[in-house]
Amino acid sequence: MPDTPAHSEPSRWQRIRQSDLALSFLASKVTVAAAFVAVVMIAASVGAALIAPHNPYDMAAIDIFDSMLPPVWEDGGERRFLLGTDSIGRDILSTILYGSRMSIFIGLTSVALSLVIGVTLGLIAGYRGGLLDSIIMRLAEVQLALPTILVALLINGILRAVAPPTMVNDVAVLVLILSIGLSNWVQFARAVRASTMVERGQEYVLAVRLIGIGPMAIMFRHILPNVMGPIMVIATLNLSGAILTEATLSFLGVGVPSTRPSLGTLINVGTDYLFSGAWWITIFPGAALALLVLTVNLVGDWLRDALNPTLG
Amino acid sequence: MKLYQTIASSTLATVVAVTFAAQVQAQENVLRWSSQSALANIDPHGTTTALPLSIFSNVYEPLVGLNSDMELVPVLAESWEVVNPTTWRFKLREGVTFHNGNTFNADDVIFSMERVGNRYSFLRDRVSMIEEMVRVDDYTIEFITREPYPILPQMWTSIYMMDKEWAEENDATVPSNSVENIESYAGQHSNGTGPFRITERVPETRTVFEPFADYWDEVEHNLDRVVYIPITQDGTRVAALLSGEIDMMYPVPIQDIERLQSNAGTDVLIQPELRTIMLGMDQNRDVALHTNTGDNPFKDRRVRQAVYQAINIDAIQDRIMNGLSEPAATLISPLLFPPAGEMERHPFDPEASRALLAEAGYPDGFQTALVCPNNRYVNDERTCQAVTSMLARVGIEVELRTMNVTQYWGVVGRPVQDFAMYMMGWTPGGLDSYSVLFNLMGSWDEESGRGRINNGDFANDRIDEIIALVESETDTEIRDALIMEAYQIVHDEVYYLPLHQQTVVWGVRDGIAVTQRADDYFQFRTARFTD
Repeated sequence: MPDTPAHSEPSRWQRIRQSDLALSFLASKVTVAAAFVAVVMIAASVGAALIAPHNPYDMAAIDIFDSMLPPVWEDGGERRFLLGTDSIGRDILSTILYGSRMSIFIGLTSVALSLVIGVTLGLIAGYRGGLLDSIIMRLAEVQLALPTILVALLINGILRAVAPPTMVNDVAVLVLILSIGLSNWVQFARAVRASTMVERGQEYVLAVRLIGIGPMAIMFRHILPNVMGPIMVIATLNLSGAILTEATLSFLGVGVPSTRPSLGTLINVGTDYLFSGAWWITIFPGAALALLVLTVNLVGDWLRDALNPTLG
Repeated sequence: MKLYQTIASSTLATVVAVTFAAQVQAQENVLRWSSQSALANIDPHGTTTALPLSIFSNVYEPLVGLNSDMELVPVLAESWEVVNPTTWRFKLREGVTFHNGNTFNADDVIFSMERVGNRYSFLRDRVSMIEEMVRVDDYTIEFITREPYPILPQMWTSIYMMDKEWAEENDATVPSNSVENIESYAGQHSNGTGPFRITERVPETRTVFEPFADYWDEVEHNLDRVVYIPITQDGTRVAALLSGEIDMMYPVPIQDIERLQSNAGTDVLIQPELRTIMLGMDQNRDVALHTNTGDNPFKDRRVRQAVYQAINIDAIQDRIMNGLSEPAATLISPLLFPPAGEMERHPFDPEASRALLAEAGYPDGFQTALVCPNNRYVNDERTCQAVTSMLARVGIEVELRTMNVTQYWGVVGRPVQDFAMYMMGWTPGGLDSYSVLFNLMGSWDEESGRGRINNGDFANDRIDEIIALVESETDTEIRDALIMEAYQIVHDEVYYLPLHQQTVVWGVRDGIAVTQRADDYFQFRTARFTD
């Protein structure tokens, strides 16, 4: 957060603090707490390389004799491994930090991809109308009829079948981003189209049309800034959904490989050990995922109420 | 494909459970069991993988089989004799019918042998010794071999007999081949002489077997139906057994043995397995794939030995396999070839390993890649991860590529061989060293199929010579000495990195009795509901 010292003039920071948005934020204790936890988790995973006690990607640092150690407070736990180790001796805490980084990275990029696709198509549909609108929106409705995870699985399956088997691990992250991104654009498109149809009739749009500005410039330079509110809300809400979809795909074994695990991969690996009593391999990544998704969702919910109460 | 399996394992487990709950009430003995992978096809000549071959043994039968003590027993052949060193006379069993009612006779044997010898067959090497087949009468047949071939019956224990008329009517004379994309009628339909017939098959989901009423032999089972449900995930498979969704499954993940033993209602059967797990290396290409040295380091014996000595096999046995593996010094289990037990591994010694790498011109190590199956052998992926970390400690940075076994064979097998290093397990066909020598150690010869599984493509003239000698040597002592010499060469030249023999662990629900076999063949005819 930009924290510039206050001057006699109302500074930017003061203006932010006095804005409706900030007041509403500070009034909601749950949102403040959720935002705090989410920011801490995201910061910790971004800085994983700095704060993680071990590097789970460095195979030379992993000792097989450290495998299956329980968390430090259990019998047999070691202080080097706060939350215990997995079946090949990786520190669970470090794999969670690196794993969240992978999950958040895939979540953010796939949301960005759906945003770009959805906003572009929504603007075109809303502004142009007619046949193009019908085609885009019918396509969106067909996709909306299918659960996101199924669409993501379908796209994932196709992309994986296209990639040569030895390349699958290398392109796994890209495949995930594409499959999640392509399965989530519909909400963006629908919201943007609705707002665009309202904006299209406004006088400022008529004015720029009269002075001969082209449709692309009108859509992206003039209408887009005015429909950003709902887009931000949907993006935040979709982020937790995307993280969850990534975890689901990785859990099903079609996500990132276990050598560079995300949270879903960790949970998947850990389930093999649930019956043998090594609960920590799966419970901790699971709890981290739940916390991350919950807090991002709470922030998104608040943002929706604050920015656009009409948005369902 | 894995996707389907995963969905199948979760959703269908429920569906199947519900469907069959109703039928159990009708006092039917329905045995539901599970293992790791789905049947890609049901062509008995369309695979060389142990799991499908073992499942097919319930539907199709060989001339000569193995009983549960791994001894040769007559099956569709009543008896056999060596007329002269190159002529074997088999007397066939009379009164045997196929599931479609056709009678089994010498024509079916000749047809099946020809089908197995087809150029698209994965089992071609098992019959390549035949020079000529002579039909003496309806139930007598003579096989003439090029050279004396003392272990001929051992080689044929998984060579299943198919009905000639049925295959010809349905245009199924060429075996299914997933690599060449050949889809045979016999890959989707079955017609054997075995005690069970396949009545329903939903690919990747389930295969249903029912007893064949006109089976020629006495059977001990009291089953009305057998359902095979592939469940890829180890944890899910254990959960299915614990919850009673399935009655029997293998392999039991090592970490869950204790749980199944202590649970009231389930138990485990444990036996040493005959398969040997090993790592192979590309020793043919001038520039190894996925490797950053610009040459092929694995052509240098010192590098191969460095890799060998960097692997702490005791740690793998202790931490990954929970003590349930036997470190191996060569490519065959001492249970099958006792002299192998006298061989010793190159010692684990990371210092020596680094020194060897430096001597070979890679003082800082190098980067390479390892291909591993992740649903084939016991803890295969974890073993590979452990190897990766052990190699990293001597400076060899390995990129691990894991895949399910269906993809794995397409990558590792001929002609793709897209690897620098790979993991593989091998149970010798016929349980004899000859199969190891011929398939894994011989140099590649397309015509005879020699070296077909020598994916690393190394070549050693003396080993090729020994293979030719062993094939026709009838004196056991000389033969064993020759075989031992070949294993010693592989050890000295470090052509392979043997890891261990794993353990067969079956999980069974109380109230079911099954006979466990060292070759992991689950024979339904030995299973009984005891309550």
